[in-house]
Amino acid sequence: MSDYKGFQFKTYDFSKQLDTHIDLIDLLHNTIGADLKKRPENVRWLFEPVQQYLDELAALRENPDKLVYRHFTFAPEIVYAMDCISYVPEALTFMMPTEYLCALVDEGREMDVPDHFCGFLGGVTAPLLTGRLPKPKAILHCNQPCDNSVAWGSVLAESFPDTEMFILDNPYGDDEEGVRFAAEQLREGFNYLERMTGKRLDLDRFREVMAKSAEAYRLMYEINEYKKAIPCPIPTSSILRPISVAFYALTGTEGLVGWLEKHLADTKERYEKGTGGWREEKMRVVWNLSWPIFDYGVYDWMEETFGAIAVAYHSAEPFYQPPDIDYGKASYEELLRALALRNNNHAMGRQGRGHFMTFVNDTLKWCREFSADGAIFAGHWQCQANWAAAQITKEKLMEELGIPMLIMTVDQLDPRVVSAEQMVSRLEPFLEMLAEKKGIKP
Amino acid sequence: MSVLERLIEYGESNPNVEVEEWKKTGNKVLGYWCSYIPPEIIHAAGALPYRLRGMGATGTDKADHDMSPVCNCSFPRAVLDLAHRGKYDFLDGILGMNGCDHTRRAFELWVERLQPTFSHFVYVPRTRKQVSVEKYAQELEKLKTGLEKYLGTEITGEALQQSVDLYNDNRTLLKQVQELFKKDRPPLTGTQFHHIINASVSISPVRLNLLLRELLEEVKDLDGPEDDKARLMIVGWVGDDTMLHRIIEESGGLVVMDNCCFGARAFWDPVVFDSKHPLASLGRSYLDRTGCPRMFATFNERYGMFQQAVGDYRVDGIVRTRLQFCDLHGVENVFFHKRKEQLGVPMSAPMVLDYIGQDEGRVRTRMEAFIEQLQQ
Ligand code: SF4
Ligand code: SF4
Repeated sequence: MSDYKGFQFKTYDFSKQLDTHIDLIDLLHNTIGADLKKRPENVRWLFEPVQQYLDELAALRENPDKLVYRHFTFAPEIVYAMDCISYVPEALTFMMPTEYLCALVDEGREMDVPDHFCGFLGGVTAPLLTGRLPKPKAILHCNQPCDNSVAWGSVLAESFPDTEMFILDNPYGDDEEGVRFAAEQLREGFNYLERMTGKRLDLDRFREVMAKSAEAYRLMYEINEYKKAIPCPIPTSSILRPISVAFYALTGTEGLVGWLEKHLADTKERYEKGTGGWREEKMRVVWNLSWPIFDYGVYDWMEETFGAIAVAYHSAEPFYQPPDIDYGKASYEELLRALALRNNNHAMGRQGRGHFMTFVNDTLKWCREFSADGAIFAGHWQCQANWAAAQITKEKLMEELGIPMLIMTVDQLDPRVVSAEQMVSRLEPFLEMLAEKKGIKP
Repeated sequence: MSVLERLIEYGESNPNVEVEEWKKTGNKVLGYWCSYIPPEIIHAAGALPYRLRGMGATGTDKADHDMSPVCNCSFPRAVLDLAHRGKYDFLDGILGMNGCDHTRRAFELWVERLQPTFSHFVYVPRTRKQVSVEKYAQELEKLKTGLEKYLGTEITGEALQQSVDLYNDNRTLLKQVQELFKKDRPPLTGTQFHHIINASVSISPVRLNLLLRELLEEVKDLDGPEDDKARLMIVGWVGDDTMLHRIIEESGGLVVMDNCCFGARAFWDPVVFDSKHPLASLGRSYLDRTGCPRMFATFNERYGMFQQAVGDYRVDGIVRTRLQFCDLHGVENVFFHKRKEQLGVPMSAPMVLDYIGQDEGRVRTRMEAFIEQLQQ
C-alpha cells in the first residue's frame, strides 16, 4: 500500500513478467472469486451481477454457437432476445487485475497501438489480433460513444476477416427521427443475427426480454429516488462495478431484476432507518464520466477525509425511459422502437455520440436531482469528445445551479498515467473549497 | 507569376485572393469541415465552398479553453483558434459533421462560442447499409433546404448537375497531376502538389479547372531534376500543413503518393450522378468512394489503394504517420505493421505529429534516418 497523508492506496508491481497468454475468463473467475470471498457475507449479494456475467461467459465454453461479440454500448437485449450470449471484450479489461491490464496494454503498444487509444479496447487489442480470443458467430458493433469505438470496429474486422459484422449507425440527435433510424437498423440487426446464428427470433422471447429490461429500469429509477435522501442510503462507490456490469451487460435478464429487487429492499430499509453509507455524509458530489477502476480507495479517501459522498456517477446512471406499452402483447414494431430508445439512451453512448449539450444537460440533471454541492469531471484522457464538453459543462453548472466543477485528467484503467495519489492531490483543494463553502470541518 | 506559383500561393494562404475576389461579387463563402460534406451542393446554391484549414495558426490557446491539448487533436484546435482570432470572419457560415470526435466538437464549440450567422450540421453515417444511405440522402436534403433558405435561392437539378460536373473535372485533372508522379523525374515535387491540393478546396471549381489545365499544359513535357530521390508514400497524415512533405523533400526524399485527407483520397473517385435521384446518388457516391478511416472497417479498401500505388509509383518506402490523439488513423498503424512483409517495401515507425508547434528537428532527424536507410 502507498501512503497519502496517512491514507493507504493500492500499490502495484509492474516489474513482474506476467503470462498474458492465459485464458482471460479463468483469470477473471479466479481473481474476482477470490476478491468476493474476502468480502463480508452480508454484502456479497451486491456483486451478483459480476458473478452472473462471468457465469454467462463461462457457459460459452459449452455453447460456442451462442457467442456474439457485442460492443458495450450496444444494448444487450438484442442478444438475449436471440437466446445468445454476448461476449464484450471491453468488459474483460474492465474487470481485469490492473497489472494484467497494463501488461496487455503494453503488448498492444509493441504492435503500434497508439497510447491515446482507450485502454478498455487497447487492452484486448493484442489478444484479439493474435487470435487468443474466441471466434464469434456474429459481431454487433456501433459507432457510439467515441472514435475509439469506431477504430475498434476496424480491429474487429481485422481480427475476424471472415465474419460479417453488423454495425449500428447511432444517430446524432435525440429526436424521434433518431429513434426511427435506430429501429430500422435494429430490424436489420435481427435479420443479421438470424442469418449468422441459424436461430429464429421468437417474438415472445423478445417481449419477455424487453419487459424485464423495462422492469430493471423502473427499479433503478426507484432506487435513485431514495438516493435523494440525506444521508444517501446507498454506499454508492462500492456498487459501481456491479451497477455497470448490470446496465451494460445484463438488461433483459431475470437475474438482474431479482438483484435490483434486493437492492431496492436494502435501500428502503436503510432509508427508513436513516442509515447512510459507510461513513458520515457531510457533502455530496456528482462524479462525472470516469472513475479510477484500479483503485476505488479514492472514494474511501473522499468519504473519510471530507465526508464527501458521490451520489451519482454520470456513466453508470439510467437514462432509458422504457415506453409505457403492454410488453406481453407488444408488436414487433413497438419492441423495435423500445430497443431503439434503449440503445440511443445507453449511458456513455448518448453523451458521446451527440451534441455536447446532452453531456451538459445530463450533468445538470443529476446535480439538480441529487442536490450536489459540486461536480467532479474525472476525464479519462482517451474520451476525447467528452473532454471537449468539460469546460462548457463547468460554466453551465455555475450559471444554472451555482455549483463548481473540478476538471481533472485520469486514466480509468492505468495508474501509471495518473495514480490514485495524484488524483487525490487534485481533489483535495476542491473538496476543501466545498467544505469551506458549506462551513464544515473536514 | 506562373500558374504553378499562383496555385501554390492559394494553397499557402488562408484565405487567398480568389476568395477576396469572390466576395467582391457579393456572393457568400461557406466553410465546411470535411470532405463528406459535398461541396457540390454548396456550389450549386451559388456560394463558394471553402474547406476549413488550420494553415496560418500560430498557436491553439484560444481553442484550448474548450478543447484539451492533453487529448484533442491539434488540427481542429488550430482551426478553432483561427476562428476565435477572427481569421475566419470572411466566412458567411459554417457546415459541420461527425467526421471525428474532435472536428465534431470543434464545430459545435464554434457555433456555441462565436455564433456564426449561419451554421448547419450534417450527420454522416459510417456504414453503407441501405438505411444509412437513405439517412444520408435525407441529411443532404436538409442541407439543401437549409442553404436555400439562408441564401434565398433554389438549388435546381440542373445547377446540381453542373456543379457535379465541375467537381468531377477537378478530380480528373488532379488525378492527371497525380499521374505525373509515375514518371522517373516528375516535374513537380510532392510539396508543390500538396499546396495544389490545398488550393483545390479553397477556390472556385471553375477557376481551379482553368488553372489545372494550364498547369498540365505547362508541365506535361517537363522533367524534374535528375536527383536520385527516395520515392515515398505518406499514410495517415491529415491536415493541410505541408511541413512533413517539405522536410521529407529537404532530406532527400520525394513524396510521390499519399493516402491522406488533404491528399489523393480527396479526388480519387468521381461522383456518379443520377439526375432522377440527385441527392440520393450524390450521397451514395460519397459513402461508396474509397473510404477514410471514419468509415467502418474500410482499411482494406485503402490498403488496396496503397498496394496498387506501391507498384504504380515505384514507391521505395512508406512513411507511417498520425496526428497525436487521432484514433481513426492511429489504429491503422497497427494494420500496416501486420502487413509489413506483404507490402514488400520498408515502412517507417509511426511518426507522431502535431499540427503546429511541431518540433521540426525531431521530424527531420527521423525522416533523414529513414531515407538514409532506404538509400543504402
Ligand atoms: S468513451 Fe471513453 S472510456 Fe468509453 S471507449 Fe471511448 S474512450 Fe474509452
Ligand atoms: S487527424 Fe484524426 S483526430 Fe485529427 S481531425 Fe483528422 S480525423 Fe480528426
